Amino acid sequence: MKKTQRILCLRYMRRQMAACVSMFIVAMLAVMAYLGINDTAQAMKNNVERFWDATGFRDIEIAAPTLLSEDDLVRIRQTEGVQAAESVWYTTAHSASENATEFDVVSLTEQINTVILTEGRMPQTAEECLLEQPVLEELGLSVGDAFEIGDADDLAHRRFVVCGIAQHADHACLPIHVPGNRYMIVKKEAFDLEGLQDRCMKAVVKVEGAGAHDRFSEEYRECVAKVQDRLYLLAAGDIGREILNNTGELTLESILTTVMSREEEIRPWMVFDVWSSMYCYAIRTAVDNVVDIGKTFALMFVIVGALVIFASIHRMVEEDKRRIGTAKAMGMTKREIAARYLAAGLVPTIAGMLVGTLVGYAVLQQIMLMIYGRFYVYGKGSPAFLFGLTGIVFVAGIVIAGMAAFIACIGLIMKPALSLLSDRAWTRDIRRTPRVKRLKKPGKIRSKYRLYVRMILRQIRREKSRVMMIAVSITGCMVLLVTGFSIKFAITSSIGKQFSDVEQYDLKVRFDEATDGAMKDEIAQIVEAEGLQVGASQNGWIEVLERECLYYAEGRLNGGEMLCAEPEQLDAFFLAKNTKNGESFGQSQAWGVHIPLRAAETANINVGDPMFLLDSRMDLKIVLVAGVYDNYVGGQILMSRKFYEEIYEEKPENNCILIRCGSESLSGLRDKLSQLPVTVIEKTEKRGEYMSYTSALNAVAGLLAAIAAFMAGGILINLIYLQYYRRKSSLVVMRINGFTPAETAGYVLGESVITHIIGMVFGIFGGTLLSGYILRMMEGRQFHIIRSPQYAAWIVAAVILLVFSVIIHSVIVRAVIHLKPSEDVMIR
Amino acid sequence: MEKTEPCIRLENVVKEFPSGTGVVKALDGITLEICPGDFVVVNGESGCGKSTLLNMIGCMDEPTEGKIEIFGQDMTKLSERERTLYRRRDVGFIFQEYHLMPELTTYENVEFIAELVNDPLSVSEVIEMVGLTDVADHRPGQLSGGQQQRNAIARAIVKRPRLLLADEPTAALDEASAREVLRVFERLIREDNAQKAPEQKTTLILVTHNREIAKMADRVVVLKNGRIASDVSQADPCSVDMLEW
Repeated sequence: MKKTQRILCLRYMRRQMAACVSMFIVAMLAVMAYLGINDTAQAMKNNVERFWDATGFRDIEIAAPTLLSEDDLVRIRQTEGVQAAESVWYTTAHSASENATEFDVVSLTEQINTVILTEGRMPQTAEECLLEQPVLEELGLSVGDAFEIGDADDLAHRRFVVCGIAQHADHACLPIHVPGNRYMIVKKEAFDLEGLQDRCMKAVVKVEGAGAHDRFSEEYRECVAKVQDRLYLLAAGDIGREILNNTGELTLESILTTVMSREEEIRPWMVFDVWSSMYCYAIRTAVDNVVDIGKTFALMFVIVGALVIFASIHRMVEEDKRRIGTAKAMGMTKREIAARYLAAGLVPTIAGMLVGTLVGYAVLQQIMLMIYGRFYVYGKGSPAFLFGLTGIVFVAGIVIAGMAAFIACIGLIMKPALSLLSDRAWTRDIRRTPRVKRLKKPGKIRSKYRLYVRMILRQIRREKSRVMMIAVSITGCMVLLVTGFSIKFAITSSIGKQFSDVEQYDLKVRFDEATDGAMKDEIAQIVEAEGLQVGASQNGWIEVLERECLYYAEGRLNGGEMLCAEPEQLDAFFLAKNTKNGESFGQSQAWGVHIPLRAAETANINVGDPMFLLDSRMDLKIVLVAGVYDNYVGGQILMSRKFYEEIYEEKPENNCILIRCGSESLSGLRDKLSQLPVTVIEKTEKRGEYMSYTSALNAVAGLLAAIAAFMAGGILINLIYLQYYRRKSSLVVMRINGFTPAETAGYVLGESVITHIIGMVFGIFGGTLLSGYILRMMEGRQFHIIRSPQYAAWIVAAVILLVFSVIIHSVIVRAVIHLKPSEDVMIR
Repeated sequence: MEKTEPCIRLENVVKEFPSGTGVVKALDGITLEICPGDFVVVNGESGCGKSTLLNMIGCMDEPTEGKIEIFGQDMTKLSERERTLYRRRDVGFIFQEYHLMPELTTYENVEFIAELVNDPLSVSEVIEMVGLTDVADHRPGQLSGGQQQRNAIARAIVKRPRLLLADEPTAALDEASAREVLRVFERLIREDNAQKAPEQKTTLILVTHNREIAKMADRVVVLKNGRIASDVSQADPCSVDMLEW
């Protein structure tokens, strides 16, 4: 490009400032959202991978109800594909303090599943221990303090000294994200090895070649799955070989089925991969959610951005029709003429993309990592930069903007200079519609409306492609806004619905079932002193058994909670309504367990199907699914006391009391119950816990909705100015001919009303579909998101769009009102 | 006056435009020869085909019938690229509505076109020649109509075109401004051409409906209904100052 052409191009862009700024903003926001989110997903993966690499995180964990001997360990190590295996001793303990804090005690390993010491030193004797930060805080201890353990099986000592604080490989997530016991880490000698006959509870395994793969990849899963199968075969022993001979395939399901069919009690090993851990699953879900948002929602930003850039360049070129004609007459080549528009399209787009990449990397990614960093022991970690994807986005952005400029100007550039310079219309329309015919036969529109309205409609008809582009761009804005707010509102409402429609109790009191009688009586006395009656649906309380359990789904065991109670009583405290017929658990006569909708969907289990259930005592049962109920958060598997008695051949020992007391007596009751060595959970706390779990997702959706709002503003400025400037000369003519300022402004607004209505209707439709699709991807095994349209999101999105629109239109209307009839519209 | 070989030859040129159910003949069998260095004024009423004729010579449009030969080349056989090159190299256009680039200054508007050719005139000299030195850094919006048109002339002549095509260059101007513009044309044709070899001389074809301007020309071609009504050579064209407005 020659010097003056460059100057012309720069000044041309300055003249088209609104369009260029709009393209810059749109390109920036689109690239910022797309790359920022995808970079974040990569950073989240990298950060947890770094943590896992630093702690030598295991690829497989083997849990054996019958404990593992040294021989078992040798056999595991000799299994093909096993790189190394270490034994782990493990138990659950309570502190001897008043609040009897529960935590898990785990032995130190050497290479696999080790710890990162954050303070103090490693244990040197069997009486020393490391604590994970949450345990340390809950016990109120510091490094150097000694404390007593109240009760714990298999420990050789009861008194320990805290020698340091550590992060354990198993717990990348903080309790705020994934509640559950955290570790006290000791030397294996702290366990009663003699009593255990040197047998350990778990083995952690590293798989050969797995380190070469990203743990989130399919290659890693396949690499580990092969060894997992061999370990199942090893664990299943003769049964495994028998299954393999009979069916040719060995799966966990086939092992469990065979084990259950045997009369003698066989307790197979459970071989877990990384993603069977709820801590890892939570991280994976978070990463997947961000990836899904990046692939769908953020991509929508790019699509809308491309559309707006196309519309902007198209408008700029259309406005320059005469100048293209002049340039052609002066002998400029098509390439030289097109170069200006290509540059005008590419410069703001590339500048926007550059800034967007930087802001996405340095701001959006940091914000998102900060949001998610609250959940992980390693904090927000380091940001990532996807060079490959950035390159692709830049190439795609340049191609899109270049193509848009090319398509927008090629039509005009190909036209003869004369037709561009001339206002004379030797058009096909005239030839097709003879004047006489047009005068004789007025159309319906002509007879029905005033000329003024017909002008608006004719303008729309004549410039169909431009009007369509505006409507499509408004649709794009609306899709983004509706999607962002729908995601946000759906997540929040799902949790709200869980606590308004399903979990009706106010307080949950958990106590150790081993202490049973005495504690239960004490609780009952306190509760009844408050005037609450057992079994009463209002101001009442009930006893239930709540136990962690595993169920087989998606080829692996998944975590859940078993909730056993009298069905009729439970309805008032935990209302589980059947998804199909709306019957509550208490009303259902079906025999078996009732599972949440998401458990049924993810495990592909239907009513009447058998299901493997493994409780925290590693007692394996096959149960029949009697019903699927609407549940939004959590994985409670409901069963009646009678059903429990039938499958376990024992009476359920209740370990939990659910209380409905109303808000008035809640805090008093809570204070009294907190005096006891029990765990008291208020419903609001649990709700807060769930809100915290989804807060990152919620924040990200809010962030994207805010970006969408900014983008909508940027787009609307451009679109509305496009409507105004395209018709400025017509507006001057109208004013000259005596149209009032209001009528002139109405001429501009008329088209806006139509394009906004079309854009908003289609945008709501598109946004609802897109958000529904994204939300379905975001649903987890224990997180069911409301799938009905979020009407509040429609309203908020429409209001935001209209607010922007009204502000921008008011500027336009002001300009129209102050339009001088003397204004020279020919010299621009 | 010494005559050379014609540089422009039109043979039976017809140009039709569709109109309603039929066609309109804007040019109806025009045959015309113009020699290098000639100052030809094309005169006639509105709609007689003046601008169409100019557009044909400038290769902005193609004839429906007939042959146009310019500088020995049959223009009807040229490709779009060759026509562009012809306009770029040989033709300087001057429009009634100026069509200046509003983002560029007076100087830059001339420079913009100078950059298209290998051996342009000095931009400063051309600006000085058209008397716009004082407003060289002004944008078109800051210039009067006459100044804008002189800027357009400077733009047209800076690339040393062999053919200057001016379409109603003074129609939108007042008398004083029109005289300024015509003075530039006069200088180009009467003074500058005198110093050039015959084949290097600039030919000016000026379309106007103003009969007074025609007095300046070497030759006046009058069109009527797309045909040549008269073609008169003037042995003693008058100067701008002698024109009566």
